[in-house]
Amino acid sequence: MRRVYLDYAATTPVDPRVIQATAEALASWPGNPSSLYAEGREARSALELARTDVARRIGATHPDEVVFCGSGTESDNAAVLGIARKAVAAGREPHVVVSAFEHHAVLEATQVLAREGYAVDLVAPDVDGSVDPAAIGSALRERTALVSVMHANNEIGTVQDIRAIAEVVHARGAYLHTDAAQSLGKIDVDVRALGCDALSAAGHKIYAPKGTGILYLRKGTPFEPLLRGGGQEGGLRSGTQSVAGAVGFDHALAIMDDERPVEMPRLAGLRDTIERELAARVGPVTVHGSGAARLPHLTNLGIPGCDGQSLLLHLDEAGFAVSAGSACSSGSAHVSHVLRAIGVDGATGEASLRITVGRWTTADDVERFIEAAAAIIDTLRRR
Amino acid sequence: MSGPVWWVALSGGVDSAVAAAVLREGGAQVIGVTLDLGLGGEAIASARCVADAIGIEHRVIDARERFAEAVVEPFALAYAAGETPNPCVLCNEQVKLGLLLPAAMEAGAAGLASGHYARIVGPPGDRRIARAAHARKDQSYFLYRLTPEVLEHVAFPLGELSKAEVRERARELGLPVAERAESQDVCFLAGTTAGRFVSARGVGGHEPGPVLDLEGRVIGEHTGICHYTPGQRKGLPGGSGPLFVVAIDPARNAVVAGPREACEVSGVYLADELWHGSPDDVEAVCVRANASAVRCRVVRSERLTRLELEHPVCAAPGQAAVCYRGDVVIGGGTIVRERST
Repeated sequence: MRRVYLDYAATTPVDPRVIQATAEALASWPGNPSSLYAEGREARSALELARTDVARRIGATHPDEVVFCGSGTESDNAAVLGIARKAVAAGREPHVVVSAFEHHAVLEATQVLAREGYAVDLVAPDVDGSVDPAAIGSALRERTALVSVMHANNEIGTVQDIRAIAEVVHARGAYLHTDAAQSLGKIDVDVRALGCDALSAAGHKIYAPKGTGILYLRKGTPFEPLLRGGGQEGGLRSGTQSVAGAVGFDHALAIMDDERPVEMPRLAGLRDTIERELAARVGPVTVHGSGAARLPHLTNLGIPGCDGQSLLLHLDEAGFAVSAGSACSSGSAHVSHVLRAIGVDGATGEASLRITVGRWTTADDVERFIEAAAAIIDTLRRR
Repeated sequence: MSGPVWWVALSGGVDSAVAAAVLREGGAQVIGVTLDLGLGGEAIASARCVADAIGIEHRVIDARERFAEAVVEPFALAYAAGETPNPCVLCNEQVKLGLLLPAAMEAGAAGLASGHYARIVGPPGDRRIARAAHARKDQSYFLYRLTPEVLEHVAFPLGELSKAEVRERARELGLPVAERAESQDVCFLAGTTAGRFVSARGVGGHEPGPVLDLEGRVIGEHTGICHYTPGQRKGLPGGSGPLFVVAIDPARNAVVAGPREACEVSGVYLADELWHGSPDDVEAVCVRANASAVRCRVVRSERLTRLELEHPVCAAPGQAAVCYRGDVVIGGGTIVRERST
């Protein structure tokens, strides 16, 4: 039986057009982009072309503001640790503020800072999954070093008002990082419009190869590099660059941008069908985060009367790949930190299911999913 | 960041206007383009009004020569030869997409959209035309010749919407076309019939000739084979029961008439075949626009492809036979006269 993949927020398959562009880059530029002879210069030129295009697409003022790196996690780690440490070295207070439902790549990095003696404040989002800029304002101290609030949440898809948060943060002279791993390519991501000082994104959420990512660092943002060595990427990230990875990332982002006006309304339609039809079949379901602005392709459903892990495993057996909470925290049956942050305590006996549609998802897939999910939920409730 | 540039084929009607608006709401920089088909300025003026109303750039592209050569001329010649061609299929392939898409890509656009009611399904590199979500408005039949390569850069923003939803969107947008009645006819016929259009061009098919019964006896006279199409009742002499056009015989300049059952065939042969998937996957075929699909099997020999129909239907040579699996177009071709055995 043909499997139906409905977990595009966990990762995306690589688009065949991106595979082609990446493979061509691998074959065409074998040189080290730091070498001064022709092979190196050619590789460097391809790398810089990709950088310039990515910079333009995210609204960066200068291509050098885009650093290619190895993953979204590396980008988040580098931003949180690198900006906080350098800002503190320059006289800011060792204090960072992050939302309580950040990705672990941000949360765990702040734990490293905590062990170094930093004060770390977590700001809870409201029950709709929105982080109130005023709540960030209240958590700030006179000389807070860094604030990190994700652009779109990976489990419930709510989109944060980064611009308003940036105003509050900058009024105190602190720096703002945003994790845009889930939002890049799906909604408009423009660093000037967002007003952030740093932004992280991952290739494997936009149909580019895994092991690719970018860190945007606005000129003038303090930053102490995480990786040390040959001084590549303007000294911001040592390590010989993956030219093909950069080319693939750029190509994937270009496709996301080009197709977004057509693709996102289509995905939103599929997502809405799932929410509407599943409720029609199995009775009321909670749509987590539905009170806030959301990504078009993601829904997180609270389904009363059954267990999330059982539901996931039965769906898997029936040929459907979905997530109970985010992939990074699944395998553990407890309620995810994201759902707890918006007030879902697990005591209600709800299964939570994250369903994300994407480039390969068809109306037929969605119809089959609804059929299968309704039948499984019905069976689980009878037990 | 300013969004990607999308060209939208703007006809002046409500559908393409809403398609443009949908894309613009999605963040695209929309450029409306209208083809000058040499049919007078009314449609172009109307398209310009639409573009103004939604606030997008508008361009006109001269397609008069291509349209005359690739659509109108073959249409007239086929009619004169006793066939019933479908000019919209040709126009979509040769002009609307064939001319506009390369122009859009050349100009650096991300793609070309139109107000057709059809969906594009499948992963990148293997995209196919599929029926619109609301089958009553489905136009996939007219688009069957679009290949996966072409579909890579094409979008039909109305594929999931119903006509009522589109009209509602148009009203919300305050579009001047919201109340306009929709046109269904072949655009270049401009109110006349295909027969009169063809006879006025003097390419043949307009000479009177005999109407024959199934045994070959002359039972009346016709006004020119270009005025007849298989399955039609009009313009035939009276008899013992209702008579239908069974076939047109251009060699004898004759129209063959008989009872309804005689019009129906149990299979059709294809010319100009085009397959986007395996013919073995085909489940059903539409042998004319707006007809319900008939279950069928594709039988191919070295030189011929025949569709064997589950039950007999009336099928006119020249029309497109469009093959589906579920809602997805697998391929098709032009119906040719059944070979005599």
